[in-house]
Amino acid sequence: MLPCVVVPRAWPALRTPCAHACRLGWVIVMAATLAGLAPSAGAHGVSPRLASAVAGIFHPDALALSALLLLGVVGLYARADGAPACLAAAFAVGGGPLVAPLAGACVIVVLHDRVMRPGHGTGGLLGMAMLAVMDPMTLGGTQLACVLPVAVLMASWPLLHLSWRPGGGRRHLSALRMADIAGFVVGCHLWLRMLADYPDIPVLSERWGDGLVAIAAGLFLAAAVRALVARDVRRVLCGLFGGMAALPVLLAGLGLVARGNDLPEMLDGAVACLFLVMAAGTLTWGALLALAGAMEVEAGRLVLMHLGGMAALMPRLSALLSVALLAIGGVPPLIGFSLSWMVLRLFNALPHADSLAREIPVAAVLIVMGTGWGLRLLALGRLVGVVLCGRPRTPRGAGAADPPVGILVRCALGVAAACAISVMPGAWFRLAGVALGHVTRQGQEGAPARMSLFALPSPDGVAVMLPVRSFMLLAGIGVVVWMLWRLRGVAAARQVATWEQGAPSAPPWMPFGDPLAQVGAGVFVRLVLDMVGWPEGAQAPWKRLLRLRRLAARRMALPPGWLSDDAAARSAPMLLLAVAGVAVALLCWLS
Amino acid sequence: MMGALVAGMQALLLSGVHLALMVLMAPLCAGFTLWCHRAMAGERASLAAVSRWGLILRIWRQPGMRAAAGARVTAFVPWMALTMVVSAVALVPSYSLGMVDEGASDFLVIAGLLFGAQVASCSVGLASGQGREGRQAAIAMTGTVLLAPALVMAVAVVAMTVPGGTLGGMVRFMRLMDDSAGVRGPLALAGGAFVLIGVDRVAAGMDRAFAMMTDNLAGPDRAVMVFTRDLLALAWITLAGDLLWPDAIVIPDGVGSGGLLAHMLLAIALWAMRTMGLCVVVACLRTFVMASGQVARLRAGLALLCACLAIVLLFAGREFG
Repeated sequence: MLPCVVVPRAWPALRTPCAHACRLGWVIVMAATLAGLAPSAGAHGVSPRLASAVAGIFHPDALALSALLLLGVVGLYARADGAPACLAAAFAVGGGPLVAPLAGACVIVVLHDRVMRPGHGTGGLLGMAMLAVMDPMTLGGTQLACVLPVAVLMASWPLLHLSWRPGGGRRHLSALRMADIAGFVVGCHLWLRMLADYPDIPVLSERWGDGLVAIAAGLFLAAAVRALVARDVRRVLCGLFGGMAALPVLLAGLGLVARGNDLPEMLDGAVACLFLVMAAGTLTWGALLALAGAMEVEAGRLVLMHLGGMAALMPRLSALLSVALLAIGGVPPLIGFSLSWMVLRLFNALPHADSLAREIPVAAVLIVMGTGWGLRLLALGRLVGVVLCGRPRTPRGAGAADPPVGILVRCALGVAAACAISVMPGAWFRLAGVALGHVTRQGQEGAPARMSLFALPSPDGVAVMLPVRSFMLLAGIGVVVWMLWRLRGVAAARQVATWEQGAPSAPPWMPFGDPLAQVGAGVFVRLVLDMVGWPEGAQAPWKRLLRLRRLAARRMALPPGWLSDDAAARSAPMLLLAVAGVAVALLCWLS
Repeated sequence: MMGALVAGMQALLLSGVHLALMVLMAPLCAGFTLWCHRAMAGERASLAAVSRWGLILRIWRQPGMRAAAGARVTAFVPWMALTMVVSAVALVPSYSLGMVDEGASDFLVIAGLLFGAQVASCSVGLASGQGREGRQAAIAMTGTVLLAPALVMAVAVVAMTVPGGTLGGMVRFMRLMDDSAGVRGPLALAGGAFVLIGVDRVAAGMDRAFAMMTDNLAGPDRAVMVFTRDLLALAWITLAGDLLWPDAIVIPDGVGSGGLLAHMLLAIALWAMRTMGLCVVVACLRTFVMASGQVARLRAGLALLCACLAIVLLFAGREFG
């Protein structure tokens, strides 16, 4: 199946047959992975040679199984669009030591197939190659501890859409697709694997933990800025997704700090939160992307300048979209809030040495994360205010209506799954309990066995959070408010055509009103810049520097006649396979 | 069995009285703040002229109208914001602990609900697609969102100070602690940050910005919106008051049954006094500190400064105290 993913990259003519093969292969891989379980489950009939051969290719432990479960959900939800990525991702989480990084490289290639500039994701491929080379060799504990986080960070960089760029244009951000969720699962899995395999060296582990937390906070802020300035719904979603995808890095950093300081409860909390991020991210983003896809079919290209008034035109889809957006925005009973609660609790559980100097970095990270959260909220408000509220801006958008029931049900199922995991986070921990114990190295007697179905695990053991209680409180008060609304004793409100408030009426050639009279997507960005007192033109020197760099790079590059545009990107996977082959040959020769 | 039933009934009764008090007091407090603000600005206004209950009832009786473009949003958002704010208010004790759902009164839940309602209520201005209200709503939303770092810091300070991180837990912790001087300062500063976060120009009365933002609303929807903003301000003020002065709150299981009623009445009186005092503070802030139109940066900066000072005070107290 691997060639099916790699080959179309080099020879685009073979794309169609390979896509069919991939769709068939998706089923085969799931079956084969489950079959790969048989030797590890202790089947006696299998000969040991066969078992070891199978285990070389498929190596599904408990950790891989929980990720495979989520990948199965994504694969079912994504249909043909994400099939190759899901296929490669299934190999990447369930594969043996050499197969997994190779398949991870394939996921990167698939994700960046239609990407804006060639060469993007090369660092990720290098990271995967490092992982592939590192695993079979028995590195010493210290060497592994030094290199492992770098390799995982490099490998998961393109998978999780991590980036330092604050721009929102096509050059900086790719439109989010269903396949990216498969990449997200693989990225989370890599970080979990890193936590599980990291050797016990307290000093190094604490240093790496601090560094990863700082990096993740910066990435979170950059992603929030990207979401705020993007001009297209899918790119806004990509920025928001980047914010959520910075959380695995943050949590892995916190887990390393906990391991360095020998705090088993905090480690439990960090790993549980990482598991919850993986599941919640998969479900919520699956639902959001299904909704965005349905909206794209109905209302045309999802450019913010063209959309508007969707709440009136497609009320059901808009209601579902608002629930999903609230879930990632962090409004209390929903899953985004549960995640932020756990992260805040983890920050509280950090070792306080009762000294002020140690708290200043923590406070700085909290301020950066808080700023990022605020900008994320504003990006969500901008999305709601421009797309759902207001009037339609184009005839194409004004013709939109709710999608057919089948698609609506599919979207509703996704939102319902996100709500279900919000109310019952414990159910997921029951499912993934063994894997959790594997990462924290405490076996099954660890925290997950004690967890209730409705409670969030807290890292300090004192705080308790039951999202279902907030849910019931809101529901109870909502019922009272609804009764008040029913009993208010006035006739139903009259709807009137929009009044103009002194503005001149719309001319006949502009039936949707002047598009500039409505609040557009740019207003929010301008307002933020004004309010924080960003001086006009302060970014100009940076822009000039970047332009200089680009110019220099163009001068240093080979003449365009020598290489086609995407030659490097085309040859990279082939080169990777060749390198891996050489590495395998070397290993065989050495052993 | 009987004991649990009696305790449940008591919790329900306490919650009911608390909610009724808050609902009744919210417009009164907003009116009082407005009156103070006008008095400080040099206007002569009678208290009756700023009666908010009268205003709300008058708006409620007006015929409901909705712009066709944003009808669904304007019909839904004020009521949703009301639900969120009332849920948060039910978790913030005003005069007594032991209410229903005391264990769920996590600071982050309360702050998240109130902040979410504050942001969500701005979307009524964007609903009908008119330029003026939309711009005003965008300004309000952006100004609110700038406060997010201060909110996160303030909640983190409280969570670092108090084990468990719930409001009820904090009150009990402060009562049981012998030497609480090192904790009071940080908590009070966090309370100050909450006041700055919650009290915007809208909270000080019928502001021009609020009026412009809610041009899309009429009739009961508008009445609910006005009431929600008042209740939101009172909720932030009560939360800050709990942090500033946790001793004024009665813990029912710590008091003998004989003097319970007297204690409760005294606590209610203290709460009313405390709230009035904070209303005067808010009016001062509104008149002297945040008088100009461009206040968002100043407010966000002040709130963040409060929260940072709280952390400094907390750990400096532990290090040197």
